[in-house]
Amino acid sequence: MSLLGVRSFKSLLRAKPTSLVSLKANRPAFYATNQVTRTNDELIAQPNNAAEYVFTSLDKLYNWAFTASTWPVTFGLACCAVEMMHMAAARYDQDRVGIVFRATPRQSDVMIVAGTLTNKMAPALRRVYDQTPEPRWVISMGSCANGGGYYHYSYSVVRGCDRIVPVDVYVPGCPPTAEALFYGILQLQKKIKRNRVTTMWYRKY
Amino acid sequence: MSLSRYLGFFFKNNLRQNFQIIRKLDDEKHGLLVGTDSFGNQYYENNEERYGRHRWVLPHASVPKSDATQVPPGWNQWLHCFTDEIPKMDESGRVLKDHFWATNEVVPNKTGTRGAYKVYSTASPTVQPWTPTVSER
Repeated sequence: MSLLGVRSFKSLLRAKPTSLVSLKANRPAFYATNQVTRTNDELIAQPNNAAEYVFTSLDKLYNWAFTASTWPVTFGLACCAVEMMHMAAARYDQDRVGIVFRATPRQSDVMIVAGTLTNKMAPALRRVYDQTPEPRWVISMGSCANGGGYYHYSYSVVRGCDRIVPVDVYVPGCPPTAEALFYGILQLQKKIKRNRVTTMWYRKY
Repeated sequence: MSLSRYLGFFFKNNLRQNFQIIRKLDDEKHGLLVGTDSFGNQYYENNEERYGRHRWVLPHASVPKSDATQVPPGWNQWLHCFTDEIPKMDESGRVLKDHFWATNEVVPNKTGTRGAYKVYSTASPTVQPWTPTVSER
């Protein structure tokens, strides 16, 4: 069964999008220039048989449930945390996409590492990450968390929080605006929607 | 106030517009169509709305595919009130470039697509990973 799945997956990769273009020839210039590339998401989500129709639907349900309630644990370490608060406040209003800050890692899904990660704080960061139940995601916010930033050559700073925890989304900036962080969160939601948990399990066995 | 605003806009649009607007913007809007860019995004303005909500874009792409990087720079300036001038466009909706050395090509974010950037590092890693082992007690 898995062999069948892989074979049809490869045929999908080889498939030319000519039929798609001819079907929708009256689309605006944006699509005519073919700037929208087909996502891996679309290729993987293509069901091959009856069982996979069920599993891809289950995946969609699973992903919908997670994207609508990604609760971050606040890990505000430095000035980036101020911008993180702006995202929570009235103007950018993270509540409208279902994001509510939790004070405990045991009840949260996302960790926003906002600010400089020092050597002294690194064990605590790792502990908070370990206490978060699976599935969990990490957003690295700002230059300092991405790669040390301004303090890259300091004796007491970790050169990027990805040396401590695996990071899903890097938000650049020093500090990033609340809009940038929100864009990062929307990217994370897109990433969560690319999850194919049950389909991958089915194709493996 | 909010309900009357919502219903007022609702009855000014037709049903098909309302479906699109509520689906894409999570709000009810009604305003003057200022322009359309090459992507098919529509830009609206309604000066009776509160400042900060008076200019908005109705994206052409569907909700999962729409992205903030599909807004061309000139229109982004207009949306954020950097300028009141609508960017000059050719007949296909492409924003004309100000300088010969500039580009007017708009590339949406490719993260998650097959065109995404892939890291290929030839430098040796500066961090040595280890495999933690638990000793028998």
